[in-house]
Amino acid sequence: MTPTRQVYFNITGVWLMYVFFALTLLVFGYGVYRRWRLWQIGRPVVRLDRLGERLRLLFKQAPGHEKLLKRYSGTGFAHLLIFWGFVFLFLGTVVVFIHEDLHIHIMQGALYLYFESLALNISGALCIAGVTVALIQRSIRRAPRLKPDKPDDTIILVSILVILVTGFIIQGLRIHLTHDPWAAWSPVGRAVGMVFAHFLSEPALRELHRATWWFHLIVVFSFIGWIPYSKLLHILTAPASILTQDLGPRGALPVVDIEKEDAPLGVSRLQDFTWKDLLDLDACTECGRCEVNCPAFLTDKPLSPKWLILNLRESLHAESGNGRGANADPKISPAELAQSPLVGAVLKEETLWSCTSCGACVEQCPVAVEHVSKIVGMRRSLVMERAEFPDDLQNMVRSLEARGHPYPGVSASRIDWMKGLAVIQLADQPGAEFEVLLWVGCAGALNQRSQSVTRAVAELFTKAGVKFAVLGREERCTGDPARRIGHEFLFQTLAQQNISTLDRYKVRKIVTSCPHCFNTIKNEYPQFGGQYEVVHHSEFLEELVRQGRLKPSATGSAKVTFHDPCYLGRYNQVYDAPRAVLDSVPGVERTEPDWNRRNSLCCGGGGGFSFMEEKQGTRMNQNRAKQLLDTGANTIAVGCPFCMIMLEDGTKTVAPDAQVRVRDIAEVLNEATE
Amino acid sequence: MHLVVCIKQILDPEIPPSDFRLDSAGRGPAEGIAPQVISIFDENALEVALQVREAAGEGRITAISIGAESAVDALRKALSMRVDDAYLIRQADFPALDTFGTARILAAALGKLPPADLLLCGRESGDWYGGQVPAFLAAQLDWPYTALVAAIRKTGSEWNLRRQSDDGWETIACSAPAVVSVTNDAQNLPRIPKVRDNMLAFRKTITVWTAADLGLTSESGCGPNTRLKTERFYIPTVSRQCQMISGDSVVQRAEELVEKLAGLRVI
Repeated sequence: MTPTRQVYFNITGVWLMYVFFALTLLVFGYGVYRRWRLWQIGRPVVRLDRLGERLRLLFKQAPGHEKLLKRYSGTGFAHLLIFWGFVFLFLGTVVVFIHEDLHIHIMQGALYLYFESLALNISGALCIAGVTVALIQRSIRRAPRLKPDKPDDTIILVSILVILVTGFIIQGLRIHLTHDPWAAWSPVGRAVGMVFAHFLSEPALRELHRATWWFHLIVVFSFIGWIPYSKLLHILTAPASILTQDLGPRGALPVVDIEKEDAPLGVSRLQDFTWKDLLDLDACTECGRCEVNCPAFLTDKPLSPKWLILNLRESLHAESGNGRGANADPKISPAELAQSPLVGAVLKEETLWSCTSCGACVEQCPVAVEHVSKIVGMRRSLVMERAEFPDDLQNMVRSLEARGHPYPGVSASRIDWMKGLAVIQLADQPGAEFEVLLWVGCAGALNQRSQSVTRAVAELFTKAGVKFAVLGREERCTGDPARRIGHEFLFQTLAQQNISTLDRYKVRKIVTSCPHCFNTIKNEYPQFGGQYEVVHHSEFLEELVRQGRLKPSATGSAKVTFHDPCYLGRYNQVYDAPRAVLDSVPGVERTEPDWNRRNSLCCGGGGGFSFMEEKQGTRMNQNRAKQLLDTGANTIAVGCPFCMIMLEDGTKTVAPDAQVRVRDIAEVLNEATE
Repeated sequence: MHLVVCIKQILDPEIPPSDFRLDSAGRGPAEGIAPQVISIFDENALEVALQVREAAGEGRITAISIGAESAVDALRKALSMRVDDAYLIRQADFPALDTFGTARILAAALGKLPPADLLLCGRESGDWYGGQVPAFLAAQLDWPYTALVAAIRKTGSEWNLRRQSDDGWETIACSAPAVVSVTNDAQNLPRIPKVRDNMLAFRKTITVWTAADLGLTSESGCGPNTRLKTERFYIPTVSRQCQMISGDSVVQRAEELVEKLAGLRVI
């Protein structure tokens, strides 16, 4: 006898199921269409190119739940169980469909025993375990990150539980009533059946089986129909968002065509976002991973990356009457909706000015929502269209416009730091031969503390016999702070000036100790034709040590912890080089802060914050300084001039009596090198 | 309503000391590596004019500058702040220029423009800090002059000029035409232009006037009888000297210290 089972045992009127299913598909299709139509109001952006690469990314991130398991791995694992449980159960249903409706009898033999019975039993059971963990997490532990925690969220979990439990009941009753010879392959169903058989008579079991079958069916169909109207939509939008994510370097913000006459400069209305931006809004599952690593949210600034997305989503859904945002007028048409302003109505200006652009939200997001480019997009509109932005940043902009550096009132010149050092300035020696160009950066040249880092780098280069040159007075700000605050016009002006200077001197390889300069020249200058090999000083110094050109020797012992700069780590995945440089120094004992590498917490210096007073909440730099001091290290090593300034200030305030020094990795290495 | 604002392009006052250079004659600062900017008080004057126009809902604003070719950048900046017209008077036509001459030239330029209600100047230039041009200009034009105004409001045909005094605010009512010098204030911080206006500013023409256009000669900038002469222009050198106080007792050392400080006239 071939192992299989009867599909519609004990059921009559199966045609009704097809009617219900057709209705379900209609409701489902209409819901998806309604969302689809809203995404269409966005601007075009190419996100379906390089399909092979995109599919590889999707299969790397989605099935393994890469990001869900990296943080809150318990709940992440619960979701993994639910996800795979559903995938298997869905495939099981497909098998039934092929077997029964297409009359291709595959549900028999080994497939029936190993897959349709045993595998599905195990997945169903694991799925129940996953849902139970999720329900405990949501209703008993009530993690704050899961807010707003709408009733829907619990209803979804309960319905999944109901679907799975009723499924096992149906199976168990069938096994018992049919004296199924293959019952051993469905251990969970069989056990459930035995329990019911213990209490009820056979006719009652038959009645119960039929009733549960229809109930199960109605819950399943309602669930499917509900998908596009609830958070369940992420079953579709999450993979879509991951598939259409930005494949360019993460550190590069999108270019605005400033010359285009009638194009809006930045985002002031929903229609100024790209369709991917709008898809993101419907992909968000409110898991809150973005806000637990957000330096602004952690210090009570009026910004939560999650609520930013949710508020925008509510405003997008206003069209359908689902929105509870400021634009919640059910009669508003997509055309009208597209025109309504965002900043002021949906979001506060302070929210946008609370972001350090550290990228932690983007790094944490399991569904590839791009928060930072949205924030910068809206900043662009405030800065370029409305010219309304914080006074401190206006002063920075004036200084960048007039002097090419962001430090108003600074009394140093770009070449003061090199007094007493033999450094080639290309303006003075245009024909000089050089191996690398040392890009000093505004902080490195003009900030007193950072000048000593620049000197340390130059001294190390000399010790290693590296032939290097600098642009000196001809160097301008790379434009990073201008671009991050949304002043694309000023950024492009500065970028073009620098590219023309670099090209004039035929510069090929650039080393810089500033991760912001590093990121901008490496990832953003190519947008304007500037192609150079750019390395951070940590990478370059590591190479010099590895080649034996620098030989650090012991200078005593130090307990050192390294703080990952956002624009080096998260944006450019340089995590190991600075650690290797520190480890090369004998006597250095290195410890890691709890939040490190991709989970590093921003010092509070990016996105214009180095030039702006922090007016709300507690201080971001003190928050990070505490984490670093908790390691017990007596040296906090950094690789970024902004981090240096922020963390020196932070440690002094948090622990005024602690004997802790904040030092650049180059300073640590230089001290140990003859 | 027609407001005319006189602006001057100057060497960036924030130039780092180590970048500051003298010109070859040693009579003034050298241009070159340091950026040039609109004199800060002139920017305040531009902002006040823009605010007056916004409050009135109508009116034209003209910016004029005597300067080198590079001063078109300053006028361009004024245009990007949404000034309507900009005129550059070629400074090269007036090889020697003093404050009398500057006032004379500006007065002549004003004669070529549509009648102005108010002529606004910064209270002094951010390079030489003379502070004389607005007063001389008023004398040239025979118009009333109010100095150090922070804000202006028009009520009917009357102009209310708000000045800060030691013990509060003072409002002066005057009728047009008049000359006003503007001082800096929290309310007249120059605005950042919108990017669109920045681009539009590049499409506007800046009219250049020569001495002949204004019916002047090269002598007009600075008559032969000028009383202004730069004797010497130099970069002060800062040097540190350290002297150790010796002496057997605290009293002796204290006496020696007092003597030395008195010798240096610091006490």
